[in-house]
Amino acid sequence: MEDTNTITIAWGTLKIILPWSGWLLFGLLGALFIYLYHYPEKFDAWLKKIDRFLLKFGRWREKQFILRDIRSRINIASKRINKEAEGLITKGVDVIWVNEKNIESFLRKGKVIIRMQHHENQDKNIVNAATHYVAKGVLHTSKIYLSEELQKALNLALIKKILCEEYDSGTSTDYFFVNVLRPALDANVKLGDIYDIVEKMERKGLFTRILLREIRLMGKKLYPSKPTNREFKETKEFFDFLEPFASHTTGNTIQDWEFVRDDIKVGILLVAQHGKLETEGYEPYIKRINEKINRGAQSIYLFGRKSSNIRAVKEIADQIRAENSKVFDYRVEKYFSFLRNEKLPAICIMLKIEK
Amino acid sequence: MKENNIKKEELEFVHDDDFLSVLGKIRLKEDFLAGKIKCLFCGNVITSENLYSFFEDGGVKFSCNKETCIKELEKKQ
Repeated sequence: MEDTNTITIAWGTLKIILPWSGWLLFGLLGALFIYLYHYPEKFDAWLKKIDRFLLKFGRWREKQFILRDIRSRINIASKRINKEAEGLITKGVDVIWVNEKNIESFLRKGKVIIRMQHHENQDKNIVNAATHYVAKGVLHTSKIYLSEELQKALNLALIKKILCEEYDSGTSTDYFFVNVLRPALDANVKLGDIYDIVEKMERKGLFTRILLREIRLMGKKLYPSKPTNREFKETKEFFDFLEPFASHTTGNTIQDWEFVRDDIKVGILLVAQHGKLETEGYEPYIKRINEKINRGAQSIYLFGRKSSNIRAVKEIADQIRAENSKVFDYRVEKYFSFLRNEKLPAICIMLKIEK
Repeated sequence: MKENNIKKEELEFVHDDDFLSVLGKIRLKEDFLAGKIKCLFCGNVITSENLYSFFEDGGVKFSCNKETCIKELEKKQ
């Protein structure tokens, strides 16, 4: 009797659902289409897994797997990096296989062709592809204004950032650590010191959001003028200037920093819950931001960690935008920051100031 | 805030399965197999073990996979 009831209920439910199943299917396909349109790189990552599975039965998907693996990893990473600092790197990559039919045209165009090994060496392939991409597609107009060591450290940090996007059981990050990063840092103490600071900046969310973004803006202003000692000095001093901010943990007073030189003009303000925010509200912050604007800062970065400070950062930014007409644009980004190994929600609002 | 929308970067790769036929097309296969091709930057003989890339620079040139040579290669791009 109970079984009959269950069948009746199931049949009744099906009779309701079936007339709508066409629409349901249509809706699901529509949602899938929208997802693929917005996240083609994730679709690539799915197909890569299918290709990897098919490799067990033969090599006919070999090149397709290598292509999809590299393309999806770099494109997922580049999307995230550009979210942190828009326009920092190219919108991902397209991979082209060179063969005997097209080789001459690519050589004529002056292309550098990178060798890809069989998929058993995919870790090496991915590291080589990411290295090539970072050399070719990231900050290429700005790197010339950086010292050799700083260039190398930024490249290594970016390659690591791209490789660390992998969520599967890939081992390319391990390959990079053992065969590229560690030997490079061991062989050059100065490079190791710079790289450690870049890592610290990355953990605090400053690497792409401030350092690379400002270096890129500098390159946009100066390229292709030949770099002189003045630019090398300015980029080095800017890097040194950011170091204490990357090392900063917490405090009860307003923390602010300022770097206004020939080409880089930056102000940074860390909004903390304790101290002035509790007793005096937003006014001390507004005053300091206005002072930085008056002294020539063209980008003001407001940072805050934890929800109460995030709210304060937003409200301070709104107030300064309403009161100071020199603020002509802004960018808000929420992310996670590390404070004494604790992962905290954080916000960075960049105010763009008229020259 | 919209900044520059930079287009996608094209990366050109050659797979090991195609490498010898590509070299044949540019008439360098025999030289490669005879060990006559050297790295533009360090002068080491290019082999299937150390080959990293090749490119046009007044003739087709090759780079090995040493870190210093990869760094030199960056300047060509």
